[in-house]
Amino acid sequence: MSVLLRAAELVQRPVVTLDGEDVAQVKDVVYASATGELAGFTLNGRGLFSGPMRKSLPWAAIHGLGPDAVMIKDESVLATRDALGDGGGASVLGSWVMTDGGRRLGHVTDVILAVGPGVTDAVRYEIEPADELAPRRQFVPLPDTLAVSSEALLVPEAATEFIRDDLAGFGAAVDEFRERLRAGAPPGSTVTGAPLEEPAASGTAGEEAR
Amino acid sequence: MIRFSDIAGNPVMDTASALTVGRVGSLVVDPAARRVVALGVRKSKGPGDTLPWDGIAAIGPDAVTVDSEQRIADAPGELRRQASLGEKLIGHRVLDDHGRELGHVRDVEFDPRDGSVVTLILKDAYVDGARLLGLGSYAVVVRALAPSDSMPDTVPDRA
Repeated sequence: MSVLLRAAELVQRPVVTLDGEDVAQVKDVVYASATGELAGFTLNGRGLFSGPMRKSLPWAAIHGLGPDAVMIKDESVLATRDALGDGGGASVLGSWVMTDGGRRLGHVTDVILAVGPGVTDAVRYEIEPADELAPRRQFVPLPDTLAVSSEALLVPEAATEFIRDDLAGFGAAVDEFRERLRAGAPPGSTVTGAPLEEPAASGTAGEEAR
Repeated sequence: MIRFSDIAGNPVMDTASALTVGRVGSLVVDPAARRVVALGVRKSKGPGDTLPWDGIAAIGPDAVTVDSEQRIADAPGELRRQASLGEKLIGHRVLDDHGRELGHVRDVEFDPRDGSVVTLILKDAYVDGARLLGLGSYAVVVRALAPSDSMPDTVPDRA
């Protein structure tokens, strides 16, 4: 069974080693610019007056991500801050979500993660829709891979069918959506030169390696 | 099996002098060995306030006996760190390795023969001592049960 979690909720959560020491707390969430996946966390020291730490926590080094703490094996898994990639504002927050059919859906306000035993997956973005009449908050399912740049983030047109206003029952929708993408070309994605195919190949390889 | 609450506050009796040389204050647990390695002693009349496991003559229902008050000494090195954590064990936060808080330690059940930790007793859960992974200043860390269900880890019938 997996639990849905907003990435923003992780901020300030303690980082605890398996020896039971709290070595840090999450300062901010960093996204990999190439895939829009979580790259890891920047860290603050524990305690009221401690400032930012030089160390960061790469995504792969996380042992367990729970409602009460982020567990790591020991302090040695912490990396330097640069290890999270360019880090220079590679955030997906605020980016536009665009379909490969060329429609703006809205901009990203948060990333929803599905956390199960041993697996964590970014499954959808929370967006503030461009459509003024739509509810103020919508959830867009993420395909296994997608193209991201500093400008926008591309999802297949088929994603629009799976947009929901709330998180309830969304798990099945994401599975169905991904299943359909794997089965064949999503209907309606007739735009030529959609940049989905190529980044998809490299992105998948990177994801499975985790 | 003995629970810490059974012996907490009990006198530590010197069998040579028949005098009370201290009172049981805390359990010192080595999380790697999953064993009680010493007792913390309050009001010690010995040279220190840690009674190592092999210095204990017996753990009885009414007292812990030692053959000399000299057994209650200052803890060396690593044991000293564990001894200071032992004082916080009861009431300490319990996290599983998936980052879920299970509760706080209410009591510890251990085997009086070899000191192995049998059960950590929480408000509404029993955690098998074999699941113990670490004991630090922030929390006791235990292995999560294989299916990460949301139910507390209860043992149905326990005498």
